[in-house]
Amino acid sequence: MSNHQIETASTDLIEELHYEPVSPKFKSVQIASAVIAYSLLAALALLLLLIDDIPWWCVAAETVIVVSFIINLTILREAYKLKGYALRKHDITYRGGVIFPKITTVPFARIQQVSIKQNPISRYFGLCAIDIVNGAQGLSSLTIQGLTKEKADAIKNAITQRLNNNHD
Amino acid sequence: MTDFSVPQRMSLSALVIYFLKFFRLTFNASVIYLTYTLFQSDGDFVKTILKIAVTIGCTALLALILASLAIFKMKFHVKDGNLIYRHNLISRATTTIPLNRIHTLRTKQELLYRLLDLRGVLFDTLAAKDEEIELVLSESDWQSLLDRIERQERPQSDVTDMPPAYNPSSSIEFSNKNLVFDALCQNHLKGMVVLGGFASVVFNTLSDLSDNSFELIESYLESHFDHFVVSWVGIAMIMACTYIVSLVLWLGKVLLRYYNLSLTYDNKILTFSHGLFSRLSSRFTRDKICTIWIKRNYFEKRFGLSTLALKQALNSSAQKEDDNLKIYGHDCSDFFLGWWLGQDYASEADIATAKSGKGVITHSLIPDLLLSSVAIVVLCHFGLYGWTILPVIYLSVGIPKGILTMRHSHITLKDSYLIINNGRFAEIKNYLKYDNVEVVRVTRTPLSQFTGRVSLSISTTGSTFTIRSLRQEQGMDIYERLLAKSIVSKGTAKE
Repeated sequence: MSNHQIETASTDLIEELHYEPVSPKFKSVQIASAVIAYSLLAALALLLLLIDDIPWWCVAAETVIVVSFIINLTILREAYKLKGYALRKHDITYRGGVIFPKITTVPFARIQQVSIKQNPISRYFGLCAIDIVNGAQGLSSLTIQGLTKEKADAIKNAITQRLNNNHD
Repeated sequence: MTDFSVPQRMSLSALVIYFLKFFRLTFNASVIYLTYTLFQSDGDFVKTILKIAVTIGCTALLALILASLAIFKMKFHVKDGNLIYRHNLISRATTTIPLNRIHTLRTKQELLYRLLDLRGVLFDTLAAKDEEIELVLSESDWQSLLDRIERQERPQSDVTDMPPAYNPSSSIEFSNKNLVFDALCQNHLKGMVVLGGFASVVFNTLSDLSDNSFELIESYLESHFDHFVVSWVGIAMIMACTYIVSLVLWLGKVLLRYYNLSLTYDNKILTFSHGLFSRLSSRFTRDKICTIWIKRNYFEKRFGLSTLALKQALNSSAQKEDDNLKIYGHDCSDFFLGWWLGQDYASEADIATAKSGKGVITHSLIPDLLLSSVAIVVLCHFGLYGWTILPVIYLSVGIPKGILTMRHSHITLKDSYLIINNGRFAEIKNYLKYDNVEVVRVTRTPLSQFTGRVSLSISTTGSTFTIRSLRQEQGMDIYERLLAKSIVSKGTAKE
């Protein structure tokens, strides 16, 4: 069994990778999703008027929702800046998160399946998400959102080719 | 013969199967409404029956629409060594599964399938606990799909086996005395908490029965056990009794499951046989084991004992969570580690190592702090100021617990495997091979820029480990080495 020593100095380090950003349209997708979600919450909060004659609870709930919405919009802008992915010869890395920034790497050899998904909002903006699933108990799915169809297909093809060729 | 090299839909006969599946779902969802209608009927039998019939009709119509959509939107084909299928009702999803990732290809023919001459074809991968996809196909379609899959599938290289080290079918008998001894060394306080919870539920139920019966029991207790219950000695005796009961129950459980534990093994397979009344057997293949978990608490270390578990991938279809058998007794970790990692595993040099910092103490204290704060607020609300000493004691126990957690938490990379140490009061060692590492993640917190510490998560097919508060440079070095080792290991296995 051969087992050569690994020199990390000779590899492109995760922290020094150039992360490709997701499509700028993804900001619009996130804003649209947030508007829909918060509008639904605000409409639900109006139901408080039915169970209580005094509208204070309703006013308080609506205020909390509006403040959360504004905070969420601010965070979304920051989150977009941090999102990015990078492909190396043997693995794919995704960076995301604002308060708790995370870098996740999945070796190609561990990938079980790849899905390309579109929900009605992302379809409207012409974007896709790629779902990379491995066999892990936790962290079993790595989803990269905000990709154009061409980029998603290119990533999928790169992964499936790599999987079917086993190794170089 | 259907050509599965281009996207195909399932046949119309599959609609019946899908309709029944969706009908079961929609009917289950409407059962509450049906029951409500039945009990709210105003005596008009015909009207009630009509309402129920309309509900069932709507349910069936909805199921038919969903089944038609599912059949219409699902397209699948086999191309370039991949099974590709388009699915989902509202959103659009296309999934690609490389054929060499399919763990099991199963078929099923229940009564209705046989009546319609259909076959359910199920594909299992390690990615999900249930099957990935069920295709309902006619017999001819199934044969043609199977033919296509067999032609597309690339032969998997054999995994390189280690040189034979064991005689075929050797066996070991584990001592029942050591089993009982190690069972006694475990932490039984958890059992007491369960029993305490059970007792509080019984107490609540009793108090809800009626005031009279409760007063009757209370007065009986007061008249017979008054001197006994209110005193501290009484409380201590109750706790001692609870402890003894939980200990007896725990010993009973261990003996029922692991009595006369015996092991038969060869180079590839370990087969355990155990149990007092009904004999159970557990079979472990070497390449399916993803972690060897070894726990040694203070008493176990002192008496040369250990608790050992062989963890397997949990997602494969044949795997159940209970299969993670635990071996209590004499420390036999060397034997299992030698069998799994190779006889010279202990002589391998460390490649890299990293220890957790003080952040682990804070992390382990957060839940205790929250629990204690809530308890203090509740006790103060009821005016039980004296009792607030209990949450304070609980919190103060949390500090040494946090320190021990920090001391135990570290990671070591060796040539062909890695060790993740964790545990609070007991020391736990998790041995993993690099080819079991599925995902690696590094997480920073808002404090990372001041402390320079990060968390490293390593996920395998059986479990996920998080090593907190590692120095950033050490964490990133281990991150890179893990990925590189993981690739080399996979490549070596396929050579």
